[in-house]
Amino acid sequence: MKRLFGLLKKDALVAFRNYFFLIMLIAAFLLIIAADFLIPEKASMDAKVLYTTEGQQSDKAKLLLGMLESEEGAKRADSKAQIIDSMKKDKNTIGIVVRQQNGEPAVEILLQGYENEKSKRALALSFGAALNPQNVDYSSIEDVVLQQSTGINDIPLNKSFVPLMIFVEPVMLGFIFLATLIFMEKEEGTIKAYLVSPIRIGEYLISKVVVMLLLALISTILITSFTVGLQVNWLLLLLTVAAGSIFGSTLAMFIASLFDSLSKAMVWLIVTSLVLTVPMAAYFVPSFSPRAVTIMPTYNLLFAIREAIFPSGSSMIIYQNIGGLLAMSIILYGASTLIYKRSLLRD
Amino acid sequence: MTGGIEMIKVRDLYHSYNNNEQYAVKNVSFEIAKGEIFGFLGPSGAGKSTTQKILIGLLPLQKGNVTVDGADVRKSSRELFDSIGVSFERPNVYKKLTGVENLKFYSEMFGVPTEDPLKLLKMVGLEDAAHKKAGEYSKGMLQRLVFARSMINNPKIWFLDEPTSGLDPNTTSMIKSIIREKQKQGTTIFLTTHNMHIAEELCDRVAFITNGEISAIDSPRSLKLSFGERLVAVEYIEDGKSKKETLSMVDAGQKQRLNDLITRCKVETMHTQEATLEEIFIKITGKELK
Ligand SMILES: Nc1ncnc2c1ncn2[C@@H]1O[C@H](COP(=O)(O)OP(=O)(O)OP(=O)(O)O)[C@@H](O)[C@H]1O
Ligand SMILES: [Mg+2]
Repeated sequence: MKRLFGLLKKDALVAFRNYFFLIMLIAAFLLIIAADFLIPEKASMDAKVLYTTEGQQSDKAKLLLGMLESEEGAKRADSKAQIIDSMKKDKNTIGIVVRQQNGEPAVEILLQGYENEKSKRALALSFGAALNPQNVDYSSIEDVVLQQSTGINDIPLNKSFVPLMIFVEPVMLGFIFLATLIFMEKEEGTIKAYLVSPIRIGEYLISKVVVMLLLALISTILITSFTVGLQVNWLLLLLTVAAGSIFGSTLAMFIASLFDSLSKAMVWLIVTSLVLTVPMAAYFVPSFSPRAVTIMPTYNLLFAIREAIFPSGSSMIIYQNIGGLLAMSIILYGASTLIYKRSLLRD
Repeated sequence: MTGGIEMIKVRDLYHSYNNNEQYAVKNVSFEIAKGEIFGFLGPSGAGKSTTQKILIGLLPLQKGNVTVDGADVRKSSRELFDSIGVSFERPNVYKKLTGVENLKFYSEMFGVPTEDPLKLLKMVGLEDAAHKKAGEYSKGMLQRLVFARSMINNPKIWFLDEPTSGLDPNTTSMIKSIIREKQKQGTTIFLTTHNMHIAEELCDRVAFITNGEISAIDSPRSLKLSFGERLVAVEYIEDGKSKKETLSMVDAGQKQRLNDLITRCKVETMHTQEATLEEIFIKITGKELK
């Protein structure tokens, strides 16, 4: 115990002198600024609408124009040419031209070209509905949401970034920091000095995991309390982050055990951290959920962090995630200890 | 050896880095008594560090038997390291930590009473740099820091790998007197070096090692007695000119020549010369020490 405590103090001081704490604080600070001030609470996805008419208008068309007039953000323009001109200047503008065709009103929709299929269909349907309210099939607009119950729609946009930040900062930073610490000791040769003292390899490795855990918890508490506030399930949040941090550290430790220098391990560390962050895409685009992504431990971790901050009642995911990550960590830790015992002795 | 308690015992040690028949160390046997300074001498690549690493458990024992402080290194527990100190040839300290911090944290690894870091730093002349980060130390200072660290647990057995290489004469003599002092306190010392002067001055016994094999083990004095020719350097004046000659005391012809010089000429100076350990090393192993 005295040994482990000594190792902890040493590793914490080395991490501190290498500015790990400072980097962590600055990153947390920047993320807090981003969440509180830079990212808007609501994404302005409502496009401005310019509309105009061509030729005679029937009653039905007048009804439609009336609707457009009463719509906030919609403005009347003089001609189609003017609309196109404005659209070129403001990429957030779409145009509507209402004209008469075979005695029926026809609507021409002018788009920028990068709108997605879903919004195009929604737009077409809503015009259809306005012109012909009886036969609209709303069921053909489908919403693919991964976990209906999480109610992500109620979370302000800027706050919905917080789980991502907590994932990137404490968990992924721990991954990088731990690898750096281990290779520093291999290159300085200090690990050899400790190998001819009574310490066990296991103690040497655990001490680093604990220092990273400490960093992760501090940064999670900072980021969470300054963005979403104190009303979160702290116990579950910190437990989840702890499991995530331990997993990140033991994975980095395992990779580090396979190589004798940082330059040799670099490629693998980068590839691994990229792969681990792929689930971030699934977080914002729930429809992007191929099996290869959903089985990744960091996929569950992300949603578990969100569940702890914005509870939706499905806390099962948190326990599953903690259990899974810890089980993997134990395997990684055991494997690293064995590999270290052999490889370090090889010089 | 004088029949004391054996602190280190090595029998028929072999080691191959590639697990083939190319041995970096082969058929090495020796033992070291309590309180003895044992010098391991050989040129670069001879297998000195390999042997030391097996003794301190940094390399696995492949073939042969090694006991350190009575314990078989194959089965020894980590607690054995409470009574061992190792000074590495390549300084390995935390560059971001100060001298004191490096010693302080290291001292907490041991289950036995440890020395005061500042006292050790003072012993090696680093008291002024004690609170400077090791990254700002010179090469010699780093070496002294590693040397000081190896004393932190008051080791019973002390492994020193080239403790004085690259140090200035003052520092070297400071290190030498610390080593002698430790010996007086009963520490057993395994000293690896290719510096013959250090070996000659400090070691009770030396082993000559080349190509992984030991070719002689004895005290420097008996090695000189059995292998060194005693020589006499004579400066004399003959026909008004000053001349110099070195003559063997073993060769009959040369002994006669010395007699002649003493009776015929005016001898100005006459010194007996001992062969150096280095000359004996070359004579026995046929190899230079560098
Ligand atoms: N890690 C290693 N892998 C393969 N061969 C090695 C390794 N370390 C040493 N050797 C080889 O083993 C032999 C003995 O090396 P060793 O380091 O024991 O020499 P040494 O006597 O300590 O030399 P020096 O005075 O230069 O320190 C050398 O031929 C060396 O090339
Ligand atoms: Mg060596």
